[in-house]
Amino acid sequence: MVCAVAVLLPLGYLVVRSLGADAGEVGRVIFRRQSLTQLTNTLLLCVAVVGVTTLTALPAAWLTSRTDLPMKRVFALALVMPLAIPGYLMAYALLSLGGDYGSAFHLTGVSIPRLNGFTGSLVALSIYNFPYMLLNLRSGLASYDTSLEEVARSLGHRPARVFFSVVMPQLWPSILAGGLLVSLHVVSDFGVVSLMRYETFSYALYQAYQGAHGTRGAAPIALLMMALAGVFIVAELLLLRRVILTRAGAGQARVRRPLRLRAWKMPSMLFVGLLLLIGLAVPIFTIMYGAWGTALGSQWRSVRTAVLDSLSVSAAAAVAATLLALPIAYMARRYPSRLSLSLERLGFLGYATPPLAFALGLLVVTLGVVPGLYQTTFVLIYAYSLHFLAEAVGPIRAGLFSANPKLEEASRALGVGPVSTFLRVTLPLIRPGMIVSLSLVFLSVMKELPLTMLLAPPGFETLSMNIWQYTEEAMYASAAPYALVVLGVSAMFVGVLVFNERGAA
Amino acid sequence: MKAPLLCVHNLTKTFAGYDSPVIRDISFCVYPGEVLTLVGPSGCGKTTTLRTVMGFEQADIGEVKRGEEVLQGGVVFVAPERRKIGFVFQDYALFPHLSVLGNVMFGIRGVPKARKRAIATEVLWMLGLAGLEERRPHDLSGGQQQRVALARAIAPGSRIVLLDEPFSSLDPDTRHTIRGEVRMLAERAKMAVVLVTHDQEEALSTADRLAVMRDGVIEQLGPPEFVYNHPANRFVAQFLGRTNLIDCQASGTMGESPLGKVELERAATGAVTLSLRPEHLELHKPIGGRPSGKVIAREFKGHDMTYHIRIGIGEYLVQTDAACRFNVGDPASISLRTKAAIVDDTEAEPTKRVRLPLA
Repeated sequence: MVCAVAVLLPLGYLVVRSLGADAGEVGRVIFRRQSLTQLTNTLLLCVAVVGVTTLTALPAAWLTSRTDLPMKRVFALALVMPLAIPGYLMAYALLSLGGDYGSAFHLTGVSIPRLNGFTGSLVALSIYNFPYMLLNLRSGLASYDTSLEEVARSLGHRPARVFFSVVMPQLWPSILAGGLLVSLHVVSDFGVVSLMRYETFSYALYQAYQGAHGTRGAAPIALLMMALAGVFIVAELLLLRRVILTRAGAGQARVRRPLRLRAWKMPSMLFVGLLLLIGLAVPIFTIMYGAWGTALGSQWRSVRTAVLDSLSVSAAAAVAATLLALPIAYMARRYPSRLSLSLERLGFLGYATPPLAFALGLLVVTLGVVPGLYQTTFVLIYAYSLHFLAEAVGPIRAGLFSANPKLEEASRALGVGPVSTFLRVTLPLIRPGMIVSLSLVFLSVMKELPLTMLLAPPGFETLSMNIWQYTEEAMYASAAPYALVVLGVSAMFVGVLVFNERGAA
Repeated sequence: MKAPLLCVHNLTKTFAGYDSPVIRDISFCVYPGEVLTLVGPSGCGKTTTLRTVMGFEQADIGEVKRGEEVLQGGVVFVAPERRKIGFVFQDYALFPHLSVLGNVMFGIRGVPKARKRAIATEVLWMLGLAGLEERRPHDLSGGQQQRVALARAIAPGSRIVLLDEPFSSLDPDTRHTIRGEVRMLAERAKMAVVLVTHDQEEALSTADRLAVMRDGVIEQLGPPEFVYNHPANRFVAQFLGRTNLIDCQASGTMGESPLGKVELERAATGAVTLSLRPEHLELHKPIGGRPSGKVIAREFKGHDMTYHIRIGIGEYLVQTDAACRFNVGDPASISLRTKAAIVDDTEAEPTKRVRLPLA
């Protein structure tokens, strides 16, 4: 209940605030032509990004988890690495790569067109979101029952048919969950679309906020965005309801045997290699090329301060979000009721709310209700953990899906009380999910931009703030050291995440 | 007789959203060293009964007592973990994150770790699982998983064990062995075992006493031989194996039936239904004074033989020894080896034909 209030407070403020404004003015802002354009642009981008990521991540996930693809572990690790590259950095990389003075021209003498607008946003956001889809699909593939696949094989279905008739239906929840996550990213992305100058809701919202009307001008757009996010959430709720994933039947799931690729080995390698080139090699190369010749020594002190600032809030927020997510996911899974399920959805609501508006709401609430907390790290961490609650709930929920409730009953029958049962049975079973939750939130906070910009205490400068500010001013070289640090730290965490996934499977 | 370890009295449970109860007025007691088997078709409430006794479900009314201690009754409801009752799940529900030893040690409490290990090792040894301590559940065969589940349930020292369809996913040989082990455990450790199954043969061979359930009600409770030979009603008669249900006009201990005059197990008057097991009948060449019919089919089963005989409009099953004395088409008549069991059934249903038992 406390969580619910915590999420709803800024949202409620937003609604009240926009309703409090002149109703006619709100109507004018919502129903003008730009809004329709913004809506079309946003939806177009969502559909395109979900489409591109699904089509690329599905074969990649399957190849890296179920086949005898050589160097599977390396590929699996490398493919999720783009997760570590923030969207705005990706946009910066693409922008600085093309064009007459781009790094591609510098290096090869060939000028490739500079990506911007819709195409630029699509490419940058797809690369950035690809790992989220991939992780969802991989965990879906890791947790489902392969004996069903064997049953289909035994009934005379060829592997390709097995994939569509047996594997795909079981993967639907993963695709839906991934698609929802990606869509929400796209709707609330600010870094990419602002740099690519593609007018979606969030870009428009930022412009309105910077404009003459401030919050009053921005609030109606925020409402439209929230409505859009609401549609996604309801859609997932309706679709997921029909899917039940607990393994039925006796005994334990058998250990899987990888499928042999044979002649498809080379094409598969090429495909995965191409994904890596686009998603990882190009941006990393661009970042490094930009950092080439930059005197790192002169920036060392400020880089170190930024690292410490980023680490402290990221870690605190990751722990807070996971602790919040645990009861929410648990209640929704074990004691499904209207209340507990809508609580679970609230996590997504906090996530889907445009961060700028969320931060704005929080600022005014703290000013009005608890001025002592205004511009403190507490509010910052509060905002982070609620905003990224969905990322923490997802993996824990997925873990609970595959943990048989009978195990808890078995523990109770052995004389172990509910609390001990949770600690000794449930927790170890969902621990892999919890580690994924922690890592995801940690990474997201490291990269988070709008919330940090508005809520950071004076003098508090995270890595992402530095990167964005320098990128904004087209000082790509100055941004590079910070980007390298983010890349390194994130890579370590992605490693932990993949290692853990392997252990759980 | 010794005091019962577990007593259930008038247990009734209705699931939320349903009008009628899933179990109604369930009463039974289990004594030390005894295996009580709840048997019935799927959906008859046997698993719900077990879960209610364990405390996974809370009964609407009724009482559950362990010895003299009330576990459920009135305002008392003891949580499952405080009931000191072992439970074995149909799909075993072994903890996948723990080793075999870890699973068995899980419920042992209040002793130092070394002692726990010793107890668990001993229980594992007793069930023939020595050497598997460090294995993970998914590395075990079905029978081994079943034994681990059993070991885990009895390791904490509970003297009452509830088994929910414990053998349903085992092959017949393993099933037979483990069934024997459960019986032996009950006798040696003086435990009270309640076992749920839908398999009548398993119920008959495992139980010291048998409770046949239908639609949430216990239809009959007693030793397997008694229930088998003296079924309380038509349902029980048919559920526990093949039988011939025959209409009969009774007067005193004698009755007039399509098979001729029969001797009844007790005095009755008017129309009654008899349950005659195929092995309670004998096949003859036609003899005077008894209606005769024809052999229409025979099933050779190795150790015995079952004949299908048509007499009048009725068809009857007779089990004989394996020496084949009749061929299809031969004339034959039937007599009784024992007194006929009367099935008191209020269902008014014409029983001209023999109905084959439920598979």
